Amino acid sequence: MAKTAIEFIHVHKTFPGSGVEAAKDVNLRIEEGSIVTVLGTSGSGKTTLLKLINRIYDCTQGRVEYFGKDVATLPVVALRRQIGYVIQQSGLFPHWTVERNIATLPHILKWDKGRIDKRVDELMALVRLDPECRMRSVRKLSGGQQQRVGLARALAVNPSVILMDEPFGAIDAITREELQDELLALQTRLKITIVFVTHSIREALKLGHKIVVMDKGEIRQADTAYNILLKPANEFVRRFVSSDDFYEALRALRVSECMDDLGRAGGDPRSSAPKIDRDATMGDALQTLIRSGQSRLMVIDAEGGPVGELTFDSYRGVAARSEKDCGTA
Amino acid sequence: MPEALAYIESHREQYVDALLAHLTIDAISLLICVAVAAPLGYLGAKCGRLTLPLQNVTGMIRIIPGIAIFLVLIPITGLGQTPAIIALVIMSVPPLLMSAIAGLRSVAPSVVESAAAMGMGRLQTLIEVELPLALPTLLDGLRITTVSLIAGTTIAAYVGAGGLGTLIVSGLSQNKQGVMLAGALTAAAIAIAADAFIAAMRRRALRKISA
Ligand SMILES: Nc1ncnc2c1ncn2[C@@H]1O[C@H](COP(=O)(O)OP(=O)(O)O)[C@@H](O)[C@H]1O
Ligand SMILES: [Mg+2]
Repeated sequence: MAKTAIEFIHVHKTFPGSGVEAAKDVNLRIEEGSIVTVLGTSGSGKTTLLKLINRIYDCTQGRVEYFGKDVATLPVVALRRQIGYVIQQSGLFPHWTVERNIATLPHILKWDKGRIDKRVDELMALVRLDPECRMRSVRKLSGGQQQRVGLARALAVNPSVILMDEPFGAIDAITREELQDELLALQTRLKITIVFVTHSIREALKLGHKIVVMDKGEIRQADTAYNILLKPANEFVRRFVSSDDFYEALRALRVSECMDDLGRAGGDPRSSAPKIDRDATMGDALQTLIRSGQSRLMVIDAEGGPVGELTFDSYRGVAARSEKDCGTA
Repeated sequence: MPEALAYIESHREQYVDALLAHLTIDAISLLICVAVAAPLGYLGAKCGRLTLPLQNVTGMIRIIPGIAIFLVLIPITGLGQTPAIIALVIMSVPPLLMSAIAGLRSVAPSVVESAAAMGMGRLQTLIEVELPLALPTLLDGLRITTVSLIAGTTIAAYVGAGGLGTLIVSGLSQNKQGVMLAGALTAAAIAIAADAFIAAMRRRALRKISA
């Protein structure tokens, strides 16, 4: 089992002024190297959950652990420098250039100029920012580019965890998809732990290895996209995710979650069945299946070895569920 | 005008003394204004509970005419430079304090929060992030305060503070227009120059933070 990066243990948060209980007995384990998305309507306590991690807020009761240590016992500045933080574009320093924003932490840590320059080069390439905009003011960038700068800034000193609070919330749909895809690719490469807050169901399902559904400060379900969609833990989650339809489910579900596992004997690499990657979405798989004109696909892992198979039957569970939604809607 | 120049020619030393005294009072008062407005402005911007009371008090002080402050202070502090400076600070600090509160509060909370979340300390955030972003507003206040000090110092002559006001007072009482004008025009020129200088700084600061 992977190491635990962050763990909430019976966490309560009440705001002194308003008396609002923004977190109620939250228990949550976030594995190192995974993406956890936090999904919920406005005011459900998503942002509070994030800020309890880097101690912008402190727990009223319970504790948050960072790699096994209670964050309340860690020096706050050191903790925050290990945890990247990305919010909607307004979090950038508007009076600074792209380069200066990205180099915020290296500057604070007094790196020498050569090292900073080199790191900014790397980071700009990593988040695919045009080198031309390096000396430009961040105010002159598009929303999408600003988010790239925000991500680069958060990545500057190799944080072990990145917290993202609706980072793509104010960005047009096409750019948003692009940024999501790049974030996924980047996370796969760097194996960084990401906690990502969003109120978009599609975004939460697409990005999260685990999805946390919040409501009024409580976690209603914390599970894989498959289970959230197909085995909602309660009526709230069922209703919440049912606002999306069958096609949404196909975009969110991974082949590996819906396939039939192969027994040891079952996999024949030379089989003529068309192949599909285990990390592909069920939507992509359906296209491949239909185009191939065959009745089954062979699911392969990254090395090309067969790990399962996918048939039209595999889609039945998904469809059955969304038909039920149509019936009740 | 010619009379004023004639006076300056013939009483150069007296004139220069008055001018220097004037500038000294202004400089000291301005430093004190900044020293008062900076911490109070920071508190007023950061502690939600203090914002409104501070704004109300400064708003009230602002309404009181400068001359009234001088008159009220004389029985308490007597005559001379010190009471003049106290009165000048009281009458000129409100715009600076108001602008300090408004300027710091105008910085987007998300920007300040990002700074904190990256492990920047309060002082570092203030110096590197909040002050540059609040600078145009701060300079607005500084401009009004400075001009108010330069003008107010001419009244300070009535409480025996010295400065260009002494020329105005004696010119008026002896009916010597040249002396009066030498004082008044010089004070006006200093005020206009200071105003233009700070306005230029403000434009520069603004260019740095907006497109
Ligand atoms: N600093 C605060 N002071 C008082 N109440 C707050 C504060 N921050 C959030 N809240 C309240 O806590 C609840 C959860 O807020 P938040 O975590 O921001 O929700 P979300 O991010 O899901 O929109 C809301 O009812 C909000 O009004
Ligand atoms: Mg929020």
